[in-house]
Amino acid sequence: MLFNSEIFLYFFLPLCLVLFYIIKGSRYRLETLILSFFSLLFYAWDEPKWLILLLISIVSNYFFAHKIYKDNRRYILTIGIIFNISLIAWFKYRYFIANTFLGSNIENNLFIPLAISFFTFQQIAFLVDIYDKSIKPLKFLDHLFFVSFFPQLIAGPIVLAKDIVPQINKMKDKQIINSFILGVFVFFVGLFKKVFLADNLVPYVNIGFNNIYNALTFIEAWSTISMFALQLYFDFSGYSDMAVGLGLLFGLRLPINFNLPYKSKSIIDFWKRWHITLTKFFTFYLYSPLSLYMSRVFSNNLIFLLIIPFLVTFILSGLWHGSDWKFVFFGLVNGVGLIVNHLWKFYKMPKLPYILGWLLTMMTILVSFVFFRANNMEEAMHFLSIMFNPSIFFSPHWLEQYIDIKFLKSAYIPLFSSGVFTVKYLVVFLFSFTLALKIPNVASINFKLKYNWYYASLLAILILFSIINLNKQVSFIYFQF
Amino acid sequence: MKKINKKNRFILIQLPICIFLILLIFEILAYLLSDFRAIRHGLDRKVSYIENDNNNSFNDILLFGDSVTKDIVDEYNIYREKYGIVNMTTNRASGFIGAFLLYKKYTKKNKPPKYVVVSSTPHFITFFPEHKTKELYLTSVFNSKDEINFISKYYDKKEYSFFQNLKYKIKSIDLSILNIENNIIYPLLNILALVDTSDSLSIGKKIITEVKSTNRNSIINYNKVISNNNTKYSPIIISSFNEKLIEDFFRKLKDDEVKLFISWAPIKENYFRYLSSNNQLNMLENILKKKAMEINLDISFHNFSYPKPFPNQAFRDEDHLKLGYWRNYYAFLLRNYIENKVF
Repeated sequence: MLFNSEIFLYFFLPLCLVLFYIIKGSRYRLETLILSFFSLLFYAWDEPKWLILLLISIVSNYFFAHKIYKDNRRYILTIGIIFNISLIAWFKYRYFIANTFLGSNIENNLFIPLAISFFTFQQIAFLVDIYDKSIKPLKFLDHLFFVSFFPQLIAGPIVLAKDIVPQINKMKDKQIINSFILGVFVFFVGLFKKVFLADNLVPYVNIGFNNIYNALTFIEAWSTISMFALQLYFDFSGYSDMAVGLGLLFGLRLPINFNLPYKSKSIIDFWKRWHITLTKFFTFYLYSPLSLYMSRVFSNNLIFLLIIPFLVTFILSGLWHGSDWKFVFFGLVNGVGLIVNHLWKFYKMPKLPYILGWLLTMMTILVSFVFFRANNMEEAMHFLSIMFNPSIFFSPHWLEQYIDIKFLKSAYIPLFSSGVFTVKYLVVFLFSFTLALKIPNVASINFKLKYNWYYASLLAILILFSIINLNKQVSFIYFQF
Repeated sequence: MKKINKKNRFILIQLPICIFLILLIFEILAYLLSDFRAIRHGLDRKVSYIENDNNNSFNDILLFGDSVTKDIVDEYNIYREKYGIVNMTTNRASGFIGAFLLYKKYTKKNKPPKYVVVSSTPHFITFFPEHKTKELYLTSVFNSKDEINFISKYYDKKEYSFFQNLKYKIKSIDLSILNIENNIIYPLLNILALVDTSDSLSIGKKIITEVKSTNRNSIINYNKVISNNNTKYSPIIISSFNEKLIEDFFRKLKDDEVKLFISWAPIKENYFRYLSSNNQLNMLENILKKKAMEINLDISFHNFSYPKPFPNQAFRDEDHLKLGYWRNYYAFLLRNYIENKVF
């Protein structure tokens, strides 16, 4: 079920809210039960068969958690992690592994269980935290709720138990929920980002990518990937805002995932603002232990302290996105960017002016997004060959009517094929880009909603413009992970 | 009376008032712009041009077709100055019914032509748009009461399921905000003269490069084709509504004393083989011939893929020819066909 589907907005969510608030108003402590029921229904809506997998994962990790806490043996944690990794390896990566390491030639068209990357990683973190004694194991119903809570189940944010468990207890203590209106507001900001902004950018991106082999030019390639960067941001941050908004409707505050990433002045800055919960996960549970281990074994050598841990972390975070080499390269480009950025700081090189830092950051990010969006490696490399070949520079044929540019070759180019479309493209791009920089981070705890006419009219606009765009029903990009 | 708190006032009073006011603003705007047509795509442009043109002109040829031909006719000059040709090419989305409505609109304001040339893929003849496509390319373009009634003749009244009907009934409340693009943005662009409809019936300006028959064999195209070997082609199916449409269109052409030329636009070699092996194209041609003979309409057929089909790599996707050589080649063939066969 999609958050932007009519069935969710008009039936599922209202019914869930009504039942939740009836239970909340009663003397029965059944909040987690009712929300878990709706969460499992939400998960099973389109593909009921994967519900069994989700339940197996939850039940197994519940037992692992208790066993780890009771015995405090490292090998049990190792078995738990291996179990989770095996699950994801089998259901998501088996063809990729067979093709890469066993020399098979299987078409990689595996149907991946919904949200497997999210609930698996969430539970690995949970087991590690139990072993570290930073949290205690949960009762079964709370564990079920923690993993399956529908706002965060499908595409994150990746929620850590230590952040959410205290809130679950508060929720059950019948405290009055003060965040309902804020939740409505944050949810509709997210829905607006998704259905009004991201979905309306899809056709512009598709034209470029559909014409990779059809005389796409230098400028068009950069324009297309820049538009995709905006689509991806609005799509995923829209989803994350909706998740936070939904959490607030039930009195829970989920962590933020984005913080105006396209304002970043460096790659380090970018990864503090983009998919924050995934970055945190990989930093806490992979990079830091690996870096620590390397420093112990190989002393304080930069290669082992910084370069190898970063490369491993980013290659694996790339692979987390999908079982394809293009995702490995997506991670690699970002990893190399981060290493260069850290080395620059380490050697105390001169600080770059903001605009130059921003440009270099955006160029690196756009290059990595080519791997993210292209259908395969071959397509990505061809697209990059256009992006880095300024000689494929033609002025659109229609421009000849207005300006006589003698030094430029003119051609009938696929993306900017007419003046009207080019103007429309520019307007849409500038509008979206401005919003990407200007829409404040409403999901942040620092955002305060004021109950005045300004916010009422803003919310009215968000509601109306989201609802009129609902019919597109474009799936969320991060659903595939 | 108990004083209501800030939150309740926000959600129960301020928000509903704001929603109402926004709806009202859009209703007023849409009302003020209701005399102006939305220009969203090529078909809108053509219709707008025909509606606003009062020259009552005469042209020898009306050229219809789908996007395969439109790409070429918009770009290349297939005109030799000895005959008048009107570019009525659209895309498949409006279907043959769209072509018929466009013809009716044209002949209402202009003299009927001598010849109608339809150069399209076979599916253009059989395609009937549905749901959103129907709304975008048919009912919101040809939206007079007569035209809406005319369109409904060719559609099954039970075309929608119960839920779809419910959805469409809700939509028929017709709040302007539900269709901002059509009700406000596009008419506004039209008023601001940002949409140029002045040459929407004319053909392209690019000069066709002459092609020798040997050229085609030696063409090396380095561009890669977006291959999809798993494409499953659908057979040509002619419904009873489709037959009725063909009969009515042909009758109208006969009444106007127009000669009809149907030429099958280039299609992928794979698709051509599929159609040939199943005898699909012959079947379609036979039906069209039969309908024409019944009313004595002069009709003739041509196939650009015969005897030598266009190779798969001549196409940038499933239907459309690549820029450059292959488009020029089709333009060259089309021009020669019109010059030699039509005249």
